[in-house]
Amino acid sequence: MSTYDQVVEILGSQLQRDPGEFTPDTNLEEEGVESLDVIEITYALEEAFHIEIPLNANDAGAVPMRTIGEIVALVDRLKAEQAGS
Amino acid sequence: MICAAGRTAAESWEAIAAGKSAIAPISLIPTERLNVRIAAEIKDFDPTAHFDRRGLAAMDRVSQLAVVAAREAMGSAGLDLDDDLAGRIHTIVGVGVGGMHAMDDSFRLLYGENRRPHPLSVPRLMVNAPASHVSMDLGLRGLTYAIASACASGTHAIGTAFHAVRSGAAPVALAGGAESCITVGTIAGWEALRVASSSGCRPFSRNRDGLVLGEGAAMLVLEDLDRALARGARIHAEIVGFGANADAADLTSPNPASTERAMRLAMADAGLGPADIDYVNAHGTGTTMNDTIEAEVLRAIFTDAPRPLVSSIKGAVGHGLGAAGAMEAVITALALREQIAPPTANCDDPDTGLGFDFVADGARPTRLRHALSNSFAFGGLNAVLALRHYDDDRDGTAPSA
Repeated sequence: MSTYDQVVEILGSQLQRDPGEFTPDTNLEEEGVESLDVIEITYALEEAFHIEIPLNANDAGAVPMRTIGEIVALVDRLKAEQAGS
Repeated sequence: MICAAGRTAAESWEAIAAGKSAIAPISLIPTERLNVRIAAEIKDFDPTAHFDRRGLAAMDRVSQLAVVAAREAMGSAGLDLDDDLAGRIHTIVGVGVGGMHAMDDSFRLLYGENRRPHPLSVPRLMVNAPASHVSMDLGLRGLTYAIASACASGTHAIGTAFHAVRSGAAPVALAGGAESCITVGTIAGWEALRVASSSGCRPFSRNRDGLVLGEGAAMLVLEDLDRALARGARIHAEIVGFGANADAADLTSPNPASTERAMRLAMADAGLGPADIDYVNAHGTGTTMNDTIEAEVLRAIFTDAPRPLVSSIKGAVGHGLGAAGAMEAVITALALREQIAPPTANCDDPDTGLGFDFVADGARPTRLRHALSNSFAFGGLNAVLALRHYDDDRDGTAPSA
């Protein structure tokens, strides 16, 4: 399963939405995702991909997670960086 | 009110008055590591029927139960909740231990599975979470907080709210208690303390051998009587007194002198004497020690007055810890409204040496003018409410049903 497919599955499960509704351009804020949702989504991504996302809610903009495409890119980058660590 | 016996106050009253025990084999958590495998669980509670995705993610079960009970109480009170009133209502929720499911789940993930706690663990487990969720759910913006006094929390919450309304500090208060700590960790802890029964809760029965945990929540709307009459509210009962103190003695054994003092404080606060009391809703945990000492204290108080009926609902709904006093206040209020003393479920061999009629043989229709509701907590914290039957015709006004 591709990173994209896994990400939209996680988002669908977290947000109780059909993953088929999402596209890489889907903007989370426009979809009504709030700060506590982001915290939960981050946790679910970390668990699923065995990565650590350096998200700090005090500086949330520092980690690009605005769109699904950004999340997929972030996950792939962190998977590569943190592989074997 | 929601508890193992019923999902509403009416359902709970009906089951408790029928003498049914809702204590049963534990089915909501794994029990293979436990010796105590019974509790009063709310088996059919479906959180998704009450909360949306965000509510479910944010709330421990204890907060869910508190909100469900609070919605019922506010719905039943029928207040016209305008912006001004919403800003003045006090919301006080007694909690014994807080979000125990969140804690238990976190510890299991962290120590058992070498994983991390759920990201909302902290706001789920904080002891004020039930009060905060009640306030947020109903839009109540007055003084809001949790009271933690173990098994007396619900009684302290209602007593404190009663004083706030009586003093004029709040026109209306929403107060009660909530608890949901039937988790592996909690039950293992109670087992280790050696006071839990593995066979059943039998208050004031000769064969009693310990308490059984229960879960639930109960909330009451307290309103100034004149205000309630003016709007034609349905009045279930009057709260007329609150007495509370501390033993400053043993950690887990009740102290006869100060529990007696707490009951006398409640009566004095209400302007009542022992001869005015027709019913005592006992703390009645079903432990050998509590029931013996509580009866001894009651004998001392009613030396020169007719002995009232005494019963405990813990045989029916278990020990709800922080919720217990609130559930018992609701049942005591309904007992006064219905003029029926609720029975002590499971009291199949009444300990007659204790000197009271424990209503062991079923609900008793009788004249009930005033009642006391007792809570004696670990840590030596005692809280007692005095309630009065509300007489519809006393002022020539008949509140609407």
